[in-house]
Amino acid sequence: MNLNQLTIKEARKLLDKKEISAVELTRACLARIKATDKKIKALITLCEKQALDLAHEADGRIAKGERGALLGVPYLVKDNILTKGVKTTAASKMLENYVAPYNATVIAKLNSAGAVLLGKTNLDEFAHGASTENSAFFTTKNPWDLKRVPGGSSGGSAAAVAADFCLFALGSDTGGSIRQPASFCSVVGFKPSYGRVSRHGLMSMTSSTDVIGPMTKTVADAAIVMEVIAGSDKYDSTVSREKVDDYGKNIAKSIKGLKIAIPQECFGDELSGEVKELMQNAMAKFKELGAQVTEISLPHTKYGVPVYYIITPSEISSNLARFDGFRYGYHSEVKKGETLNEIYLKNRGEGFGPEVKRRIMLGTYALSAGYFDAYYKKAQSVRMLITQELNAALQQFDVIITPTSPHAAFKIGEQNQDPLQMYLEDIFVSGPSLAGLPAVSIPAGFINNLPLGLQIVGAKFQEALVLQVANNFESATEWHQPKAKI
Amino acid sequence: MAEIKHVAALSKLGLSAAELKRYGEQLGAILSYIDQLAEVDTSQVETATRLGENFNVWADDKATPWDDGGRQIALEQTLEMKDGQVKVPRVLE
Repeated sequence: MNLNQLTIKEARKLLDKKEISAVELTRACLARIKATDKKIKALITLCEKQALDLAHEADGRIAKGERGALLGVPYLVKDNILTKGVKTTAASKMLENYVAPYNATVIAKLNSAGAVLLGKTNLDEFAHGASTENSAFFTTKNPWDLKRVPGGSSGGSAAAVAADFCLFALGSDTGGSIRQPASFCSVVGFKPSYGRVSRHGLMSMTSSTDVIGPMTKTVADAAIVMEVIAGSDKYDSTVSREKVDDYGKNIAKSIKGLKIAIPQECFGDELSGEVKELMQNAMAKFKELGAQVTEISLPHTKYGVPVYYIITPSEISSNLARFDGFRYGYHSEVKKGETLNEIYLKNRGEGFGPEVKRRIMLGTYALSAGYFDAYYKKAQSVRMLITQELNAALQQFDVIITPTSPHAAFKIGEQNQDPLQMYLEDIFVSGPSLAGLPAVSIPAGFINNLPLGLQIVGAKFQEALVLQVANNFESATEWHQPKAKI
Repeated sequence: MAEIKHVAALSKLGLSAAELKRYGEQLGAILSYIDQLAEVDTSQVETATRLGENFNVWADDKATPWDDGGRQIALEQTLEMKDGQVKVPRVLE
């Protein structure tokens, strides 16, 4: 086995016993990236020298007897998360040459923990999309089939973990952007509750649903990363003051007697027989593990996507207003006599890609005089109903389980001409985002050799329970073990 | 068409005629899909409950020095500097 294929837990043992060094581990990841990323195109920026420096530092700390879950562990970060002194582009022409002047709180925490930053991963521009096809630079390929998308928007991070470029990666999830690519690439993608992890230094997209979370090879590894990145932050007033649980503590505890709800709305006629069968097999496994599986109805599920595509563009139109190309970012050539407004129009019209422009316009429209009540206010009200419905179900049941996505990875170019079709990718993942609930996608099987994940949703701040259920399934199945042949 | 032009102007996006046409059509299709929200009865939803759990976070209104090298990186992002300040195009007529 190559060192880059290790899980965090496996690497930890070897590092602490000094059987391997952080430098060796980092070199293995760098070698894998250099040999394979030509095909996958998961990375926007590789930080080779910096990574080796950090690895040396980590080895020094280990030699002095220091111990830490992520000390000397190499990772990759989605390129909408700020990394000081390293290019942070959001996969946009607008920020193509932007170098972050400070670290996101999660990066500062990982730095103190001694984790080794390897580089930055591709995404849909500003995280707007579900395939990485909206990246202004290139589309990342799915390691399981290079003709297919890795999902998105954290597609670069998902593909990188699936191809063993790193031991873990960070993604961001606004309406499924960690979970859906995790499903497409057969990795674990964990979206924490809203407010569990600081958003400081994450480029704002939808401030009311954005969260940063880990993408890993196993559920136990997701718990390890969560323990490092979760918790309060003086730079983000929306981070909860609730105590951060010990996520690893009960992860292996039996789920006997646990109550699982299956929303019938997620198994309608439009869902393929193959996905239904995969989910039925998963439910049989949960029953075998002693859980009680009950079918329930969540009638507002179907409004998740329409609500999401009002709330999200509305917040985007406001959050992306800061990009005017004046102090930083893309600036068009100024012609003599051009007015301020003309400069804005050019910088933004040329600097943003099509999906970003669509969302800014959709949001501007939904918030504009005469349409605010019919769109934004209505969507916020339906969002409340979706949230209440999910919360009520989660008072009665421990977790809700759905497929992560309605199908496996689609072909590059297959649906990027139809924005609405792309939005429907979010059908099962938008609800938990709108309600701010923790949710994980874990490998649950294969359809025609393409992986598919299942989603486990818990009540707010019940991260530990979600991870426990996921870990029980992972331990009882082998779906997380096959590796993409790349 | 007049409407999409108006929205583009409000959005501060300079778009070509072809873009206006394409985005106009696409946004029309997206909005007709979103229109299904009209069928949901929201008369009982209380505005106040929308906010969820919120609390104020206070900090003293005082500047803290930014001296870890980040300030220099931030200033380097700009096109033109003059006397340690960012130079921008003329904005007042």
